[in-house]
Amino acid sequence: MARVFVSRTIIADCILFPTFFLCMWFWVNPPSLYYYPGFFLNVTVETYAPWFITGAPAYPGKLTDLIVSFLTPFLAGPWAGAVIITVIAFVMCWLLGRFLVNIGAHNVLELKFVPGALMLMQLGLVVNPLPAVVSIILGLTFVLLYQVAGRLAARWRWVLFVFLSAAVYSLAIQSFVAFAALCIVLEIAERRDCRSACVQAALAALVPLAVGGIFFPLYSPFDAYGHCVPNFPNTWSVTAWLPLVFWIVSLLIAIVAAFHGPIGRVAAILTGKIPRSASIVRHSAIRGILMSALIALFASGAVWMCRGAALRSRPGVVINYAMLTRNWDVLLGEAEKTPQRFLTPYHINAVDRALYYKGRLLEDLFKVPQYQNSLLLFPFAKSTGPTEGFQNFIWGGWTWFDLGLVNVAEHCALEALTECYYPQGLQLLSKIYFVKNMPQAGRMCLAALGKDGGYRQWAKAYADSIGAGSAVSLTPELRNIRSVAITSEFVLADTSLLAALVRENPGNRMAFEYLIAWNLVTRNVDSLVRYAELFHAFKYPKIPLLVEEALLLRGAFGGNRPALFGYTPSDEAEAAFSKFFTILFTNHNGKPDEAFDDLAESCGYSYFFYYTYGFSKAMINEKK
Amino acid sequence: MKKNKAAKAFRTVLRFGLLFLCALAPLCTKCARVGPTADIRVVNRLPDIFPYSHGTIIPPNIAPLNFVIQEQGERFFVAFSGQGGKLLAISSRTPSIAIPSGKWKEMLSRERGRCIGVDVFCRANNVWHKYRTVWDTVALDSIDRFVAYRKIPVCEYWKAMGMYQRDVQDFTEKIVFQNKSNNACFNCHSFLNNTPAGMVVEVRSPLFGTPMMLGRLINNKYELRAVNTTTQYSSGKVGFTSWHPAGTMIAFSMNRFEMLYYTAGAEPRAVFDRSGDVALYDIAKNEISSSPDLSRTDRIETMPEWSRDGRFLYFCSAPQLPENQYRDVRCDLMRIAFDPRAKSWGRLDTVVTAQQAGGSVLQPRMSPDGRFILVNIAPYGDFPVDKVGTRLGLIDVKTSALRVCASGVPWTDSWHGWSSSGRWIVFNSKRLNGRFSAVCFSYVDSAGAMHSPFVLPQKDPSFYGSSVFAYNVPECLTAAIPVTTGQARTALGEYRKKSSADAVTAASAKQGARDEF
Repeated sequence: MARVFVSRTIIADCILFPTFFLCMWFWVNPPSLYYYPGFFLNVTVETYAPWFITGAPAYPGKLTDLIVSFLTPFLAGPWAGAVIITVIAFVMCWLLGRFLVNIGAHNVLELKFVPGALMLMQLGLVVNPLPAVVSIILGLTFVLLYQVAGRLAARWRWVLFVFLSAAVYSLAIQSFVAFAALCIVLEIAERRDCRSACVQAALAALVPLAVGGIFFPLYSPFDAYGHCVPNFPNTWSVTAWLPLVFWIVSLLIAIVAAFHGPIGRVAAILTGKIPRSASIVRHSAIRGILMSALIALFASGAVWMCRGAALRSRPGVVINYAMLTRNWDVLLGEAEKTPQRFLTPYHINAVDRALYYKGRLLEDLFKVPQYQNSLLLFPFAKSTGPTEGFQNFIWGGWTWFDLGLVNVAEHCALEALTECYYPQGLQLLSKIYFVKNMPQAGRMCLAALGKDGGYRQWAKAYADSIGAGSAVSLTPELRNIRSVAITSEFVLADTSLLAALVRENPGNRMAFEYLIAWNLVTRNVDSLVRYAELFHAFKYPKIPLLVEEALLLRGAFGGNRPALFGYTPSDEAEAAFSKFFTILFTNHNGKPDEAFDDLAESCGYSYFFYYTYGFSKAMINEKK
Repeated sequence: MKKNKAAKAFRTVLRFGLLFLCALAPLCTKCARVGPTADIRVVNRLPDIFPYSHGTIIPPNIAPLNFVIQEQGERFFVAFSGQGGKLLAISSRTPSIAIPSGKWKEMLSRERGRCIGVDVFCRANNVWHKYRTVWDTVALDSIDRFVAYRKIPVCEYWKAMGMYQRDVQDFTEKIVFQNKSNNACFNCHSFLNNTPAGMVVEVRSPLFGTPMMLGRLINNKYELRAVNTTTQYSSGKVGFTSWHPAGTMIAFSMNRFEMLYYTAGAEPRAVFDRSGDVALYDIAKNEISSSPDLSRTDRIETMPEWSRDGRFLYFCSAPQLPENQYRDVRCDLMRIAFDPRAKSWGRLDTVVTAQQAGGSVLQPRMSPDGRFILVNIAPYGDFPVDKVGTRLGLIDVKTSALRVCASGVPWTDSWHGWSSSGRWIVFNSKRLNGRFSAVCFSYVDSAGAMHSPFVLPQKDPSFYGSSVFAYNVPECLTAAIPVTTGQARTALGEYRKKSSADAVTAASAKQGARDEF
């Protein structure tokens, strides 16, 4: 009988784990996870900072952090990452299966796949499951060790239990509760000895206090227990709660399974015989079908719950990866195919940057939703909260760097590093310090980054290209940034920064385009006109469409022929202008509310539409 | 029979294993004492070694000053020699030189008060290069065994920070407070006469508020309690503190710091003080008081420091200027007389003006013998750590003469303090890279001359090459701080429960003082 169940799960293993690998390879894409800052957000700094963890004072569960810190950089490679995650998932499921087999729970063996499914779900939501999974693997290993050794030396199992639970507490604190609970369950399920189970529970309750007091005296008794349970999230979102759910479910499965189903086995243990009500589930085929149906139900329920969050997080991951690799086409492609409601101001900040690099910023600005603060993310706003700030820091830092405001970029990178380990922050910092002529600090960041397996090669190559000593050989990128960087010192206020950048460096084309774009977004056409004459200085062959539309609009308000600063008016803008006026004034008597649908249909991405309503067609659904 | 066979097999394995280990032994880097051969090319310059500096005076009880040789080579050799010849030799395949702790201690104790030479050899292209000898001096005076500091990311938010203590005789570092679980900011700490018998740490936490943590050794038991310093006159946000030498009172400043962000310059941001007043906390009475001279509305008063006899309170003072004139804020060093018996304030004097000092005079720290005041001379402002070009200076108490120390690098030296003997100073410096500060020590001789500093040694020779943490507020201590995180949590928890009931009383503000101290 047992063989039938085991071989059934072997078939499932053979199907599931290659599927898991392919899922990782094609859908999740480990490098995009690794380079996504949010992936590190909800875990401790120690877990991922290779420059910190080895030197950190001893604390319970450090081994887990060391293993995770060693494994994580492998995610930077697509193959290695997919293999690592699949192997970790396999080992976790195998250990859980082993435990179930050892206690004779063959009939619920399929449950071993549930934590794996939850792990995949977390990866899909860009939640990092590795610390919890590694901890559970260590915990399960110790449970099996206890099971095997406990059978061989039954008399010594109390000593063994105390020793192993102390080891689990010290090495993998997150699985301490699971370890203790499973050992207690084993005591009941295998030996049917409730008294021993109670003694074991009492011993387990004392272990954190004793081990914490002896080996980790820096932690209070409260902390000694508090660290055993994952933190409760502050917000009500699937992404925030999933790690805790994973932890609880993994624990529950083993416990429930150990009792052979909550009704039959417990009742059997309590009464000493199997009740009639449970007889139907004792039939292997029915049990198998029920179990599979239950797991399928659970999985579909979980997928249904997570689908919204997954749809929201996916574009962010792809856009971030494309931004870091400066793959602007992929970035714009992803933005185009993503429903507008899933694009946050941070993604749009990256999209605007991509539009600039593709020379389309002043043509296609309103094809994506433009919020007041998405073009520039202000990391020094006093109202910015830490979490909100983190998003500003990680997305905004690169834009400020490219614009030539390296001090703001430095502020962003430094602050982001306080939230979590953020290798891109170190990458940005190293560039900033070379631009600021602080080569020692730049090399220090490269050396720190060199300890991260995912960035080692990049850091080495970059350090080699920069050269040693005080004489620094700047890369073309850094030379460009230094040439456009602002050099006059004043206290940062708000948007006048762009004007200051343009004033100080007349060659700063990005600052100029951003300044024009900012005036378009804020509907400040008068200010725009002041800078529009600089198009000649920047050698624009023609005036960009959105700017021409703004100038036409201003001319119309003033009743004059618009000044295009010597540029020839384009037919496209003239046609759009006349169409807009016809729809608004001829068809709808100048009533914007009535003309909304028609205008949105015919010129929804034009500046005329944006100026009239304060948003473009790209934001219509949101505004509705 | 079987047992015999097994034993034989075991012995064979053991024998081969030992042989194998013997064969490997010469390959072991540390064991291989491959020194320079006769063919040595002399390089007529000092070797580039990091973070160790040349020509320093070092304490006889300091941990090994491990370093990295920043010269090209495939093998490295370092020889320490004294008057009696070679003392210690290290051979390495990597440029990281980790000095054996035992031999180092032995060498320092033997060469106390004498010079030791450090010869660095590098083998490049099969030729050994010898650089000029680096000469260091082992001082007669030991340094205090512990140093307490904050280790934080270079940030505005305080998500990950902690106060640590380090045994300078070895590499042991321990947490005193860490904000991992409570999201609190642990501010500047101060101690009573270089001992943890009196300790003040300010906490700023969204969870617990802004208590002042007061640690005291009472009847051989360390007591830690959180004091609520909020009164109708004071904001409750304690800034810089100084213990009265008698250990009965604490002078503290209350500042309204804000961050300014700069478009250019080496520092991306700097602290601006919107107001600053100095007040006094009487521990026995649980009472806060101030003086009109310490709480003027038109001036910032900050960074108090008691004289060694407790009869004067030194502090920094500057006109209160608006934000756009941040570069014009320059502090004078003032002092006000104090009668410890009557607890009354006396005459106000200016010790050194900003004009005389050529910059803002900040962070006065009185030497244990009361002869000198160690200060910071910052280009402007009243928060020196983020002002590039801030230097240490020594003021003679008798003559008020100021001697500014040349640092050799443009970066900031700040957050300084004295050792209990008065022969060593500890400070934090950005000299290694301009951004991430490290703890430095410097010897001060009896004439008040400061010698070339050295960085707090670390076990990993390349530690400072990749540490992106900032160390600040280092304080020398003669004994370890006995407080545990558990004690801190208990104190904070109790404070949270009864903070309003436990609030201190305020002596009524005197005429001329502002509503808020």
